[in-house]
Amino acid sequence: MPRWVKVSAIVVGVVILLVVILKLTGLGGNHGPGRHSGAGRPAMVSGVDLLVSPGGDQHGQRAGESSYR
Amino acid sequence: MTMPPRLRKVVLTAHVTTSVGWLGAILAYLAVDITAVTSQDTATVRGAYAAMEVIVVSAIIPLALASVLIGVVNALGTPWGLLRHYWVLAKLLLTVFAAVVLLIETQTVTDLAATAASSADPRGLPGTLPHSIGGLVLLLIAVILSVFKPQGATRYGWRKQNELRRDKRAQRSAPMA
Repeated sequence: MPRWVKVSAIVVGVVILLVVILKLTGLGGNHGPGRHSGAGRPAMVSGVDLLVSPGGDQHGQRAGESSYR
Repeated sequence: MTMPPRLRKVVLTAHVTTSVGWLGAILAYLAVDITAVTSQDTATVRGAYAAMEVIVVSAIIPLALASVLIGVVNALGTPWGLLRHYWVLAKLLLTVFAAVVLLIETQTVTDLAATAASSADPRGLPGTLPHSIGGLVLLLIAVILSVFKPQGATRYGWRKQNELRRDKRAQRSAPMA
């Protein structure tokens, strides 16, 4: 087996190991196609919702801002 | 089973076109992805997410599937084969992996575009930069492999080469009719 194949295999192995460790420890955060939807997503706020919200507070947090950044 | 030279060139042209097109479409997607994440203009961000979905669905997915499919046909129709050389095998694994991740990630991009379209302020939504940069790196590695064609035959490749040599020797030593 040529050396470039061995080196590439080691690099791929290390990357897979790193991904598995991140996944198991939860350091990598939530991952997967459904991570931006469903329960974890903050409720979407339309312009109408902002106008008719109780107390009429329009100076609060922007929709979907805090959870993602 | 090798293709005749003219057909081989047609298939190779289609393979290079779709593969380089895939790379170019990812670069365009990356530009829009960065805009979606960094822009402070709400309309621009909303437009960027919509553009991301269009680029993925209309350009990246068709080009990726065509590139993998035509690449397999191209490899099988030439003496290189699909599993005989490490560089061809590595390219196959890289592009199939990239295509599978792309198909899984498409749902995320569609969700983000829908959320951005209906949200009052889509500026807080995340981008998909790790995936787009990762895809770009994989395809660049595939391009480098195609250009440099690093040496090394697989075990299967060696066996096939020996079989071919044996057949040629047998043909040469066979009595003429």
